[in-house]
Amino acid sequence: MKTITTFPDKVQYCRFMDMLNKKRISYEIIDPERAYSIIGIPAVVLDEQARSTMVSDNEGFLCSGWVEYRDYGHSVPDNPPKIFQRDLFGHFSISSIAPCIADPDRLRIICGFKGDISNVMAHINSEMPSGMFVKDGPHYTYMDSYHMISLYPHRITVAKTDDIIDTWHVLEKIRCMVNDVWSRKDAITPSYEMRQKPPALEIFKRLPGISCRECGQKTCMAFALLLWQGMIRPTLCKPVFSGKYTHLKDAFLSICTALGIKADQ
Amino acid sequence: MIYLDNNATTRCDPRVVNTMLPYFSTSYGNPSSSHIHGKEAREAVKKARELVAKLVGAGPDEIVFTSGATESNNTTIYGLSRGTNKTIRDGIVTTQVEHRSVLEPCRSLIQEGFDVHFLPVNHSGRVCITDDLLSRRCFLLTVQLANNETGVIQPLKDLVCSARRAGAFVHCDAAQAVGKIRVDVKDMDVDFLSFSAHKMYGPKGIGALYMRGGPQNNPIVPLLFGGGQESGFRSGTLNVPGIIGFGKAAEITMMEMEEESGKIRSLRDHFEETMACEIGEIRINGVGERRLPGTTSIVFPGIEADLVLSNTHDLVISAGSACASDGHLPSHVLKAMGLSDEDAFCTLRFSIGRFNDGKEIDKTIDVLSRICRSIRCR
Repeated sequence: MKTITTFPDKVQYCRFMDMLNKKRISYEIIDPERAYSIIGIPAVVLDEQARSTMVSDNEGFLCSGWVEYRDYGHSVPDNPPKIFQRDLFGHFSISSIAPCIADPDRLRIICGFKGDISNVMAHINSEMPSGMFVKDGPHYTYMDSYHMISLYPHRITVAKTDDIIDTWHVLEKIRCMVNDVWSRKDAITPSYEMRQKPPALEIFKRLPGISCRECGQKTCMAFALLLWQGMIRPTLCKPVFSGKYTHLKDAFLSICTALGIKADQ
Repeated sequence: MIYLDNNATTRCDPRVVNTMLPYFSTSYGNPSSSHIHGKEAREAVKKARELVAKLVGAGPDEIVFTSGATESNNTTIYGLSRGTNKTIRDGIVTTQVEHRSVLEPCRSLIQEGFDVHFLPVNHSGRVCITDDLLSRRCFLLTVQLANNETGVIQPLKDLVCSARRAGAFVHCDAAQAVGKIRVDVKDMDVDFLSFSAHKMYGPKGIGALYMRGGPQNNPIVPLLFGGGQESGFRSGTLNVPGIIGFGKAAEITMMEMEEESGKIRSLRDHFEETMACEIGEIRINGVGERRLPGTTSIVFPGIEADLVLSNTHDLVISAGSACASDGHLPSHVLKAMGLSDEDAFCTLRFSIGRFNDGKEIDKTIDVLSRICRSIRCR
């Protein structure tokens, strides 16, 4: 079995690499260059025995935790990262990388940063009404495809990333989104509204419940869950939009609106 | 591997395991059966029930076996809400620092029109009591005896006095306290008490609900119907090996708790004092309050708990935050005590138990000191 780790900063990475080379242990490197060079520190893949040696002979390096290495086939794009006049984050530091509790084949990561994004959260809440904003904290949680993302003043947590490259991709996307919203802040009215996101069950209650599979899912509940996660379009439910159940359309669209999902999304 | 997460669960004591084993293989009868195998199981369950009851100062007829404290908590809260006349009494009082198995049923009852009040705590985690709190419409006060994160022991007697004045039932979630400190339902004057075997070196999947006077003398509506086990209050074939293990765990606790809690307390105090010397600036949550002997919740300012956990490979401890359905959130207990998100994210909980010794505590101090120094030097 192969395992992978990354590091909270470049110093720890260099310290780890020195140790590896001194012990003549073979390794693979996954490099965030170029597209993810702002948010990523290289990740190291070792076999289980090498990992065990490095952990037991720890000579003072800090890593972000070890997880089983899975290759989902993602690759790092070659384009340079977007540069913002004022980057709110500063140095990114992944402090924890662990199997996701909800989906052990995927990763849960915690990333700290030196900057403070408190002031931009109400603007994000205004721009992305499908998320959950908590004024006291503050923090903002939203879904991006199947990734669940929580933003705090000095940290980000992401659940269900595929692998380290997908993790970097999500973090870079967050960096760009937050900085972009902040650069347009004067044109955005901040929203302090604290919405409770209705559960997926509320979508299910407004579906025909016939599990016809026309949408490609095995059951209406599976469709509701994917829709709740923002992974599919509402119009895929044929019976509601063009079949025998068009009388459910208004109720279905109103729950979609409450969830910040557009009909043509 | 050093296991310091005994508030999450404990290792089943080998003496408990040995007592349980025959009930999986040779003595596998259903206690509800009338034949010889059933009788054998019935007798064993009777003895275990007596031991579990004795542990909390109750009578055997006042103990109902459940799957654990979560079921006991849900049964009391939902069962009493179904049994109350809502037009006369619709109030529940609890605290902001309860376990989620109390908070969530209470929150769901708000949807059904019940009036639920969540008492705040002070900066040490102790519940704040006000005289006017329990109005005449309140039918239930549900409060924990000791907190799972900080170990702070709540002023139950004062709370019970308020509840009695209002004529409300008192339920106590004692999952963390039973087995660690002396618990006596008569002294505490509570009507219901939840506890669990796996927090006291017994098996998982078995717990108990104490009901003053037994199930027949209480207005709780059962949640499970069927074969009428547990005096018709909790249907379902009894978990005989679990109950036998629970009984043995209770017996061991009664014999050894006094000496054991002294040993655990001195390990905890040594740990806290040495950590303060080694790491420098640390804050102990709930310090100054009465606390469980083995629990300590420590804020390491500027040191992210997750980074510590990522680098403590041979150490099993837990952080002041948890992965939840709505994100990776700071602990609701620490937030209720007034800690900032950042301090909650820099909090680690250590819970010392029966199988820990001084060598393990010293090794833990060494490992943590090294990691904390590395993080601060970054």
